[in-house]
Amino acid sequence: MAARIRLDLADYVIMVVLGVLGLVIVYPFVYVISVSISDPDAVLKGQILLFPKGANFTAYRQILRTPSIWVAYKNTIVYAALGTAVRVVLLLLTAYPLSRSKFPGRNGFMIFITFTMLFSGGLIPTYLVVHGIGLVDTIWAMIIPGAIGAYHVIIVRTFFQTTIPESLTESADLDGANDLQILTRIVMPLSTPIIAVMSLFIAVGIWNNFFQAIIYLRRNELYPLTVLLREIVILSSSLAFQSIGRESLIAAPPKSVQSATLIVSVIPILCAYPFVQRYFVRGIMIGAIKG
Amino acid sequence: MKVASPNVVPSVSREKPGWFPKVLYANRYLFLMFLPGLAYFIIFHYIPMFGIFIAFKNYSPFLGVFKSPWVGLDKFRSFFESPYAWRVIRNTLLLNTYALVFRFPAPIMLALLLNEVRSDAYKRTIQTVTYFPYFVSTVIIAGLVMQLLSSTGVVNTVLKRLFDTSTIKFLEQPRLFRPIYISTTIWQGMGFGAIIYLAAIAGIDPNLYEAATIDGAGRWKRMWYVTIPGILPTTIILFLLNLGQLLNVGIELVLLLYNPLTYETADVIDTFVYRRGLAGVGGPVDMSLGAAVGLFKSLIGLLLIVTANKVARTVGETSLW
Repeated sequence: MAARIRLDLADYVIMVVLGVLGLVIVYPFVYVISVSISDPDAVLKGQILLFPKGANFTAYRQILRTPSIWVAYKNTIVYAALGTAVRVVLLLLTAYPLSRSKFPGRNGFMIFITFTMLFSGGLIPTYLVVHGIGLVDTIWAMIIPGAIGAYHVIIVRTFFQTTIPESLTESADLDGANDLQILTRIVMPLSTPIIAVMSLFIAVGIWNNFFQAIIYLRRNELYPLTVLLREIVILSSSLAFQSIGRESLIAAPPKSVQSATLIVSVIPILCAYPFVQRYFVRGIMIGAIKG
Repeated sequence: MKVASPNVVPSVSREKPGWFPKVLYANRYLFLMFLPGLAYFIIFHYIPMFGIFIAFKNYSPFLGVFKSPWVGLDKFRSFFESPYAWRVIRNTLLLNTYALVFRFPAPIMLALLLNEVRSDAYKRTIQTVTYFPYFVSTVIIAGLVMQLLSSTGVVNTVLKRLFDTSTIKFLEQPRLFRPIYISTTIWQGMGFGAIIYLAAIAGIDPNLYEAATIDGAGRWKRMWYVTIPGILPTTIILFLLNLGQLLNVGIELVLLLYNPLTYETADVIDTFVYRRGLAGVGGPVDMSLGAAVGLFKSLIGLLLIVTANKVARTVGETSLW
C-alpha cells in the first residue's frame, strides 16, 4: 500500500460535505445553549442566531432553584440505575438457555419470543394488564413493562452462541458444575462486552423514556425528567395544552428558561457520550454481523 | 446427542424423550433461569393479545373485561364510518411513505460517504457528531425543534431578514407538519442508522476492491460495483423491516409536536388510540375503541410484514425468514 495517498478533488468535496453535515447536526444544540445564556430581551426580539448576546445565567439559576427538577432528576437516575440492573439480568437469564442446544424446546421458545416482534395486543390491552397487576403509579411501572425486548434477546443469544462454545459449557458440565454455576462462573466473565453494550442500550432507553411515564404514572413525585421537560418546554402554549385536554393555567416560561432546562437535561448525556459511544459501536457490530 | 449429567440416570426406552419430567429435572437450572423471562413474555405480550376481546365489547372499567357487554363489530364500524378513520390511516401511511423515500436513503448515503474518507480521525469525528442526537430523548429533540421554529426563533429571524416575511407559526401549519417531522427524524436517526451500513461495508471482501482497482475502476465505479452490491442484502432486509412497520409511526415525536391545529395531517393511528382510548382527550375515554383500532393496526401490520417477506423470497435471495 502506498505510504502517501494523494487527495483529489473528490476527497475534499466529500470532507466538506460531511463537515457541513456535522455542523448542521450540532447547530440546534449550540443555538439552544446560546439562547439559554442570552439576555432575555434579545431572545424575545429574535436576535440570537448562533452566538449568545449578553452572558446571563438567570435562566439557569431559576431552573436549578425549582425543586421539581431535582425530584425529576432523582427519579430518572433511580429508574435508569435500578431498571438497567433488573433488565440486564433478566435479559441474560433469558438469552443464555436459548443459546444452549441442550435446552429442550429452545426452538419453540425462540419462535414464541420472536413472534412478539410481529404482533402485539396493542396499547389498551397492555395497559389494562399492567393496571391489573397493580403496577400503575409505582416505580416498577417504569421498569417491568418493556423489560425484555425480543430483539435484544436475539442479539445476546447470538453473542452467547458465537462466543461461548458448547464444548466449553459441556466440559464444565462434565466436571460437575450445574448450569447456574456455569453461567455465573464461566459465561459471565467472558461476556463483559455484551453486558456493557446491552447495559448502555437499556440505560439510555430508560433514561429517555417518556411515553411509558405518561401512561403509567400519575403522581408528580414519580415523574422522570422527560415528563417535566415536556411540561416546561413543549406544553408552553395553550394550544399544546389542548392537545392533552387541559387548560393552561400558568404563563409559559420565558424562552431562555426553556432553553436552560433543555441544556440541563442534556448535560448528563453529553458527559456520558464519549464513553458510551465507544462501546456502542462495538456492540452494533456484534449485533449486525448476525443479520 | 445430549451430554448426560453425571447425576442423572439415562432413562430406559419405554418413556418418550422430550417433555418427560426427567428432561425437565436434568435441565432444571436452565428452566429456572428462563422462567422469569418466559413469565414476562406471557404476561406482558401474550395475555394482552387476549385483551383483544375488549375490542368487541363496550368496555367499562366498572364491569371489567368479562362482564362488559358484547357489541361485536360495533366499535370497528363506528371507527371506520367516522371521519377519523381515513384521516388517521392516511396520515400514518403518508408519514411512513415519506420516511421511506427521504429518511431511508440518508444513513446509506452517509455510510457511503464516510467510507470514502481517507482520514480515520476525521471519519471518527464526523461519526461521533452525527450519532449524538440518537442518544438524546425525544422530548429534548422536540424541545429543540420548538425553540428553532418558535416565533422568536432562528428560522423566523432568518426568514424575516432575508425575505421580509411575517412571523410564521410553523408548528401550527398542517401542511408543514410532515416535512418538519421527517426532517427531525432524519436529523436524529441518520448517524446512528449509518452504523449498520458501515458494519456491512466492513464485511465486504477487500479482494473485490483490489480486483476492481486493477481493472481500472475509479472511486465512484468501485462504489457502484463493489460497495453498493455488498450492502444490498442488508439494505433489503432493513427495507423489508421498514415496510412491515408501515403502520407504526413513533408515537412520541408526533405526540410532542402535534396540536389540535395540525391533527389533520399529524394525527396517526397510535396517537388516536392514545388520545381516545387512554387519555380521553376530545371525547370520553373509550378503551374498546382504542383496542379495536389497535387490533386493526396489529393485524394489518402482521399482514404487511408477512407479505413483504414473501415478496422478498420470490424476488431475490434475501428475506427475513
